[in-house]
Amino acid sequence: MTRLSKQLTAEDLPLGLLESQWDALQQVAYDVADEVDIKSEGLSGNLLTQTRFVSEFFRGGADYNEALRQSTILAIANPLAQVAAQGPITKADISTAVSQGLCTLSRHGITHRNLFRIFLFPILLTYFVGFGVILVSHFIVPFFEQIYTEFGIVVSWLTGFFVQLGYGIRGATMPLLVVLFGLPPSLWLFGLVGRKKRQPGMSQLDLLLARKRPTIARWLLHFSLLLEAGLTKEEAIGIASSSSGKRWVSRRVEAWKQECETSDPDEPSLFFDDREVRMADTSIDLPRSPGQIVLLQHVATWYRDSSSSLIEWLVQLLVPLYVFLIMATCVLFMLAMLEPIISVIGSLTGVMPGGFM
Amino acid sequence: MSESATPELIAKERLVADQSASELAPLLSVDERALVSILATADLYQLDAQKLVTGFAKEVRSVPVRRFSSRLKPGIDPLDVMGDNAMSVPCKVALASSRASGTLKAFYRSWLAQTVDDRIRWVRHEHTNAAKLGRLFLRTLFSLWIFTTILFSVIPEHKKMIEEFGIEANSAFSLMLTVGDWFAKLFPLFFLVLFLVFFYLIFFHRSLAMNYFRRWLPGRWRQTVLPEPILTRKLLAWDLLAFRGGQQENQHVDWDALVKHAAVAMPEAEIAKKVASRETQAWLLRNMADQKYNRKRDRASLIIDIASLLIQLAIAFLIVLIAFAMITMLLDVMNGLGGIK
Repeated sequence: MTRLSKQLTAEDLPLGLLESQWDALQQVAYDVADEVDIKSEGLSGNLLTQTRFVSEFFRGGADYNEALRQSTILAIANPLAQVAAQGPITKADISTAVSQGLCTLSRHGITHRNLFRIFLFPILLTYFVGFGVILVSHFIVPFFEQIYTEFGIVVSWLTGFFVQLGYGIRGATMPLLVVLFGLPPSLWLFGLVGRKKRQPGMSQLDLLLARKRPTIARWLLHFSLLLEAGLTKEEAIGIASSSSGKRWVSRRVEAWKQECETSDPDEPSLFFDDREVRMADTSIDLPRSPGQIVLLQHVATWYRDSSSSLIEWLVQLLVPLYVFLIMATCVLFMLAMLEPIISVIGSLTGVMPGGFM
Repeated sequence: MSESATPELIAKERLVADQSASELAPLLSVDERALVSILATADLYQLDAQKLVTGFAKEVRSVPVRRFSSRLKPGIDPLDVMGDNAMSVPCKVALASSRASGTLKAFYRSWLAQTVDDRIRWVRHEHTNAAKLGRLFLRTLFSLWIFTTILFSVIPEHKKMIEEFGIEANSAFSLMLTVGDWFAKLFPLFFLVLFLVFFYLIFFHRSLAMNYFRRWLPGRWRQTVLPEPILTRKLLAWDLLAFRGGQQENQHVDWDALVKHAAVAMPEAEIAKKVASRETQAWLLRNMADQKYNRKRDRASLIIDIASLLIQLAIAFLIVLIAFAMITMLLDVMNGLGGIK
């Protein structure tokens, strides 16, 4: 049985554990990277992205401050530091520690699909619609307009609206094309902004659209791993908040520090101080112990499971609505364009072309 | 478990506890799972259960859980004061039977350490291929209904009008009539194909059908049915892990025999042979099984996507054809009435 298989005790959470063992970890950095690479075999999705990131980190110098900012690294580094504190690190220890870290990530880490990929289909659809609208405004609308003029047909307000819309789109073709062709490189550049600060597997869109509950879930996991790494509660709160990528969390740190200075020591102020995430505050306020870390991670999993799929679900609901809207507009456009012609035929023959009217 | 317990006994206890934990988890809602995790953490790490459950009750705003938290006192077993509505029946039964058999702590440990593959298969129904097929089926039926309406009400009227005016149908309108005729002829055949596909899915592809009908089972998250070869690999991985501390530690795993009995594939055995650690072998085996499953699912997904694309292209072609035929026909009528060529 390896040294990591035993249950953690309070003595296993000394302050400054990871910092004191960092040199020992750097000495086995390549072995850790190799083990992570072996265990990446057969992984897919977010977990694979995270293992690749861990492997690159350990091969690329393994900076301690960078490790503190990334919960993905801490999940692997913490069990290694616990082993290093007891003696030299063997290959079996590395194997167990990497398994343990990857299990922590797969149990409590982010599991959602990258939102950019989810939005890709609506974006592509918008592209097709954009080009289609430009083509229609340049070739179809003028054709009908010519027929109306030639036959002296007085058009209804709806037909007039589509004709005017066609004029407008023809006039704005160049800006529209610039937007359509400029969007992909803009999105690519947008994805590069702050890439190193984000967690692997998260797009900029994920971070922007992340709501309170999944943000707190990521924060709690990071906070628990920082505590496990041997940081004090105040240090862990500071680093987890600055790495969360959300301004409201960073602002909350300042407010919490001020509240701590002024509040009664018997009634410590709550960090989030929000009824909707009361359990997060309850677990943050527990005394420093392995139990607190386990609880923080399970609360993080609870928050993640109860909220992370809402945006995905919304997109899935919106896409059929969007397609329906496009189809309805197409039908309306066709009816509006044909209605004057059908009316003329009806007035000339006394018979309305069947089926439609 | 006493101090003198053998590794085999410990492994068996873990096996039972792991199994009950992984069977219970999918039956519970997200909030219920969180409550079990809280009770497990409080019990294993000697935390203040009342404080934790009170925090939980305040957040979920559940009256039964609040009553449960108010009844919790130091020295009282939470399971004795849980009440009727704080947890669902399967959860209470699982916890009570674990306590009665003296394996509650093992159950709690298994619950907190549920393995990767227990969690990873909790997929939402909308993401399954079964759901994709269901959506494709509904879309096709909707399109069929629209085309049937056009075929049996709009086209005959226009055909009659053309005959009344004595105008010769142009090529687009003729093509639409031909397509309409074929559509009418193939209509029964199409329904027969749909019926056969449905029949095949129900009787010969049970896992897909089961996955589809699981959506009506209670709970938002469901475990998918894993195919037999994947399960075999996962159980083998579990065996490698479960007995790592026992007498079988140094026992040689005959990978060639496993390949011969089709338990694992040759490439998988080759990869596993290169690794010395039993734990890493188990990890690899489990993840390679996942990858195999994902590949199979992705391949099926690609086939559905291609079928969906082909159907959508056919629908788009018919829409464009009908629109073009109608417009040209109306223009011909107008030209005929106005005497303009």
